[in-house]
Amino acid sequence: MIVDIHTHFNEPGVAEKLGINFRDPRGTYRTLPSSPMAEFGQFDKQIEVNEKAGVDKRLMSSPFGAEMMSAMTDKPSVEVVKAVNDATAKTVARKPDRLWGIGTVNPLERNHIAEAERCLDELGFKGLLLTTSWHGRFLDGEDAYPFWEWAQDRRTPIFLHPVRTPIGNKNQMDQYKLDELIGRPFDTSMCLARMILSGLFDRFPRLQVSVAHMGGGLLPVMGRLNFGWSLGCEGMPERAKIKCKNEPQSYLRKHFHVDTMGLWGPHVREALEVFGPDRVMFGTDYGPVPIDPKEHVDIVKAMGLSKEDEEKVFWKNADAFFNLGLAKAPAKAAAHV
Amino acid sequence: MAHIIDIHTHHSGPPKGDPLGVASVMRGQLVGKNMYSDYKGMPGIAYYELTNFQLQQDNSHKAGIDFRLMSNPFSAEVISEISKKSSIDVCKVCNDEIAETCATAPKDTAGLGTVNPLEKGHIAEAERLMGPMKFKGLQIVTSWHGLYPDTEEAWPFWEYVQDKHVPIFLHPPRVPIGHEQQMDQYKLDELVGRPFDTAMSVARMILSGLFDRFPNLQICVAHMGGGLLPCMGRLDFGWRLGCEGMPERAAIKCKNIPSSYLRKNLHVDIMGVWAPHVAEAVEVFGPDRVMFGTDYGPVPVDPKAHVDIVKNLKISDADKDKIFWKNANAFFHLGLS
Repeated sequence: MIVDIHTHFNEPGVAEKLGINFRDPRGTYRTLPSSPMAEFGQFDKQIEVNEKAGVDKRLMSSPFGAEMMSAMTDKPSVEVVKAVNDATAKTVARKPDRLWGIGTVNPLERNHIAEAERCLDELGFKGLLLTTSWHGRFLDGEDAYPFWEWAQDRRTPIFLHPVRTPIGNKNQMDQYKLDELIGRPFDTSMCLARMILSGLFDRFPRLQVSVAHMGGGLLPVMGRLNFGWSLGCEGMPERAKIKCKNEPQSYLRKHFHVDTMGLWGPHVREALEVFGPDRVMFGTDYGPVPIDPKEHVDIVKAMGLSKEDEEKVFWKNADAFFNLGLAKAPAKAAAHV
Repeated sequence: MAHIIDIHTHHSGPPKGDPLGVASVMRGQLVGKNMYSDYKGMPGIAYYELTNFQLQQDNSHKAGIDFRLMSNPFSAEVISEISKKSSIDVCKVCNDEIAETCATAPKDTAGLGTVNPLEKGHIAEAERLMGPMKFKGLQIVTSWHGLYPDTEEAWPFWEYVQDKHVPIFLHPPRVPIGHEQQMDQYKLDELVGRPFDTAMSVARMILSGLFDRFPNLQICVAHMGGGLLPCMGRLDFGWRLGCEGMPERAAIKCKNIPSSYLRKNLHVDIMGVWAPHVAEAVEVFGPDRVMFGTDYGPVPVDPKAHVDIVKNLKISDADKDKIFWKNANAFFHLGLS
């Protein structure tokens, strides 16, 4: 069995419904050129390619449409988010035996919690995708506390995914797809570093978040977070001080899970070493990144894992984390306790 | 005889006079033994170990380090933005200071000079450093006042470097990409921003085709390549999926798959205090392209911690010798035996 936790499909009609005109599909959103891949909008092809690659089930989400479109309309952001979530539900309904939905909201806006509940209750979604920043703001500030409190209480599976227009986008990122290739993992690492260093996990000690792209660029800076913490912040202004109680590294195996997406075996190996085989899940980004899912499967198979650990990465961890109900025995709720 | 060469150490003594007219802007605030400053709104602590050369020597020797390459990572780039003097005069003052420091321990230290590759006039200073000043290489910041060194302005510099086989050490600047986006908290400029400035710089060098134009360039990158490695598979798929329909300036230019340049043009140091990523770097670059470095001075973590990380790698003793000194000896032409 293989479950892909990280796939996207561009359900048509959302922008039209919201009165948003992208003009040219290759439009230069915030002056960052991109060339969307056809597979993002080809449902049948996605099904066919995944069947061939042996991917049995997929968790479908919208990567950053809501964040992006809410900056392009006067409508309240909660309406934009609703339209996106309805579209995800529509996608899932095309092939309900193969797909589950993941909804999206903005954790920085309090009125999005009601929509988050609609996602999990009415729409039957398995979790929520949050972009690592929303209109340039990260998710660890006070504005997001009500959301995190709700997520912790409800044990909501969270999937963190970078945003279309990442941090640093004004600094020559309009060339060589650097927004996608470097900027987005950078946005992810900023988001995670802030969650750790701000003390968010001390405040909400039962939060569990899964992170796209092997944690973005977090791991090469993890030792830096540790020494930044251990060297201390004496003399710095209060807002600048690192707040977390424990060494930053200690939060990794308590609060984080990552997917394998990155097409780079050496870093999947590092992720397995750092997070352990219970906290790594299979993901491909198929759709916007139309690389044959088979390549991702082969990267995991080449890790030299035990059969048991390989099954964890391919589906058992995802089953437990997103409560998919795949295991014959009742799924362990361990991931959320 | 076995050695340990630290290619990545910094020293900056107390200012002698104010030749560049920047003392009033650069002046920090003493906190205990350390100096607090908030250049460009980024609060930072300069640890006293940065300014105490003899203490550096003692602690390095205690850890078994018997040779150090001294450089000054930030001063020239920062001061050239403030000073009324020309950037080349600023570089000269900074480089002369490194030379003076190394002259106090000529048997076990040597200098790396600093110039700005984007300014043509700096080649003359580079020649002075590599000639009469007997420096062992040049330290280049990954961006200079926000501009990356892969563009046409820098081509004369790279041509000079390639022709003269100048060893290059690439190091991030004080204020990195994305600093205006909430990086004034939790030391994020240092802990996350700088490695991402490095990742941007190296990604641009690869994707812009700089290494096709100058195929013999050899560059050693600080901090295990910064945030590059988790993005490396992304650079590869970005290249494979093509840039059809994108404006010319945005299209990826390199001839070969990005990962193919790693073992041809790049080397890294092990600084990061994070063993899992050192292991990844050794896997990706191979044991011939990884060098020992500590960032000692501004990062006053006991150099022994870095030594132990290399000692505990699961590689042969011969490969450890390469990392501890043989690679650096060859790359920087140090002539140790």
